[in-house]
Amino acid sequence: MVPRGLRRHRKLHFPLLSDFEPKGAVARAYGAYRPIDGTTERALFVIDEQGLIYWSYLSPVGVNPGADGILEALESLSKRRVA
Amino acid sequence: MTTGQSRVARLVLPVGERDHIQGPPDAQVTLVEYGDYECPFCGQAYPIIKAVQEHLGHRLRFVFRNFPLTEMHPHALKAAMAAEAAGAQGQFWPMHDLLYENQDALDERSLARYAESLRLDVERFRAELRAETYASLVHEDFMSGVRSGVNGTPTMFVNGVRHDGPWDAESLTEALTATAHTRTG
Repeated sequence: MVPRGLRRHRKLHFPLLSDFEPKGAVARAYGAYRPIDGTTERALFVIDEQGLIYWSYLSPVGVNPGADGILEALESLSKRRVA
Repeated sequence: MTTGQSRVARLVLPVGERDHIQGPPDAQVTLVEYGDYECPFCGQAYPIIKAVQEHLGHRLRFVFRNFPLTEMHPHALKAAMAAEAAGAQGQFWPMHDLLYENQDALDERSLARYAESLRLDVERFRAELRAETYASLVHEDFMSGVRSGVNGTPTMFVNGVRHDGPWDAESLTEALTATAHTRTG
């Protein structure tokens, strides 16, 4: 499940899903697979504690979306929990 | 998925007193770069930005903010703090230039050498590096970048909007001039 080599290489501190066999199954479930290219969209999802998609964003494939949207979503999610 | 809604990444921290700025405050266009002194792409951008500044003259204001990728670049944070320490002695831009012109030598001894060559108070410079006096300033820059949608280094903002296009001299000049024209109507 976790491509350790890649994770170590990019110095990521969280697990990665390879989504390899069956290829792209998880991406497909999120509607984020690109069958023509055999790759995925640049899509972001924030999932709440019930397992529901709280926020999502689809970036153009050529544009790294950055982390600002994710942080905003997490903040508004934690506000919802307090309320 | 929110496909219809297109997010424009915008600078959340406006340019102000805390920034290192080149060019007039009333320039038609402001270019903000989030950069890392050890990042090779920022090294490539360095002469390009100089050329663009020369080309646009007083129409352009340039701002540099720190975005050290400390996981990838072991010297990046120290180098950023060195530029700030030089800035505290009125020599931010000369140090900034020296760092980008010597990206392969950013160890502490080299940093002290650059401080000497700029005739800084080297004792103070070293002490402030050791005490990490400017760490919080660098961190503030970094977090403002994350919040603004910085997605790698260098990331540039043209009048507060993230520039997602290419940044070779020609493309960047074009983007900046186009924005300058919009502003002047």
